[in-house]
Amino acid sequence: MSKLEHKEFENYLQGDSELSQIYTGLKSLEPSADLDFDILKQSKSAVKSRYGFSKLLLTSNLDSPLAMAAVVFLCVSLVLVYSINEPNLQDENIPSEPLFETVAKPQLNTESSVSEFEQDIYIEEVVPAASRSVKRSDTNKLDSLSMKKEKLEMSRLGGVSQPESPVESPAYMELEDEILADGEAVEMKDELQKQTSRRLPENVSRLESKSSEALVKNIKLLINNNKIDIARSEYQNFLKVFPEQDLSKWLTDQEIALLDQ
Amino acid sequence: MTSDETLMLLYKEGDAQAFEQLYIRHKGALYRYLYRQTSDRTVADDLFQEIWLNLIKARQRYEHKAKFSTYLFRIAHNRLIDYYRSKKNAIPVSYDEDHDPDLQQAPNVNQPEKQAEIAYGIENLISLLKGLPEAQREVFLLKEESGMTLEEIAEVTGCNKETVKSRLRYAVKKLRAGIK
Repeated sequence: MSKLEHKEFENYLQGDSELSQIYTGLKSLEPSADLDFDILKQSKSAVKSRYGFSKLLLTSNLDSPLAMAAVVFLCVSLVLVYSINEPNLQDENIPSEPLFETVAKPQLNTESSVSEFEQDIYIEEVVPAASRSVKRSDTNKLDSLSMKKEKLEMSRLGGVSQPESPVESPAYMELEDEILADGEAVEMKDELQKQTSRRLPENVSRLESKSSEALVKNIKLLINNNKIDIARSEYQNFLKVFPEQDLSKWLTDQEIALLDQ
Repeated sequence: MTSDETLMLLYKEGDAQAFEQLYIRHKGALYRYLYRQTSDRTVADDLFQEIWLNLIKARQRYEHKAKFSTYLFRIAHNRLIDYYRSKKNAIPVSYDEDHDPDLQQAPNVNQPEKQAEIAYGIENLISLLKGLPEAQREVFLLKEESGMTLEEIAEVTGCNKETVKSRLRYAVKKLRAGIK
């Protein structure tokens, strides 16, 4: 390439060229209007389809209800997840064998200051409270308690318990003992105390006495059956609930020492 | 004035007006590039539409790494190569970087017997352009239509800068000789 050609090419690259001036005359060619319309239409529809839903949410008043729905959905999900993953709260303190049969039932004519009114309160408040304290998963026991409640009411209506009578209903006593003798008596006791402490202080003290006795009997039975670990656990629970209870009238020193180990 | 790159980013975010501005700025240059390379209005229309639709579809992947015009003409170049493949089952030999431009036989209008028929002025230049090998014509069109530098043309065509410079030099030499 000659120097002249080289110089002309450099001028062309700088934009100083007759060739470029002539070519400018060719720049009138454009795409058709229909083509313009089609392309611009597609460009707009592409954006609308992508952002249409977002804009709808932003410009409408649906944001609050949607947020509320999202919160409710989250809460329900959490509850469901929690209930599914809830560990089986099979209390290790509960003896493996049912205790209902092992607890001695009270005598029929035990002295009691509980009036029929108080029994009504017991039926209406204590039993449901005790039922609530029972594990939700243990529906069989709930059913059992409900049946017993009905049984108690039936027996009372049948004249077993007399109005203003100092003699306590045997059905009531049986139910009470069964509830308190259950391995979950601690929880029931707590509920019982909450429900009745203001209205029935005498009844509570009596129930405390009876429940503590039943529990100690249960512990003693566990010791006799060589279930020392369970007995100790029951014993610890017992001490938490009845810290001031004197155990010496039910347990021997040797048994207490064994449980204290 | 908002830059092309900003407009494309705005369109990426959903601003249809930004795309319209971009389109107005570049539609002529792109269309002429395609038409001069194919010499067929129908084909140019189809390629033109496909290129813009590709741009619309690929807007979410657009990143501000290079000039928008480089990005756009790179798409156009690739689409054009696909067209050559589909039509002739081969990319024109002029796109071979080892090809010697002086050995390129001028098709049709560069034939000596037809040169006498070529008028001067614009019509002459159009004929001269048609007579250029595709690769030389391409670099000339990219330079004239979009004002790209040699480096940018090299980026669009996927060649090195010296190849682009060589092709452009030969194209200018032939065109200049034709219009004199």
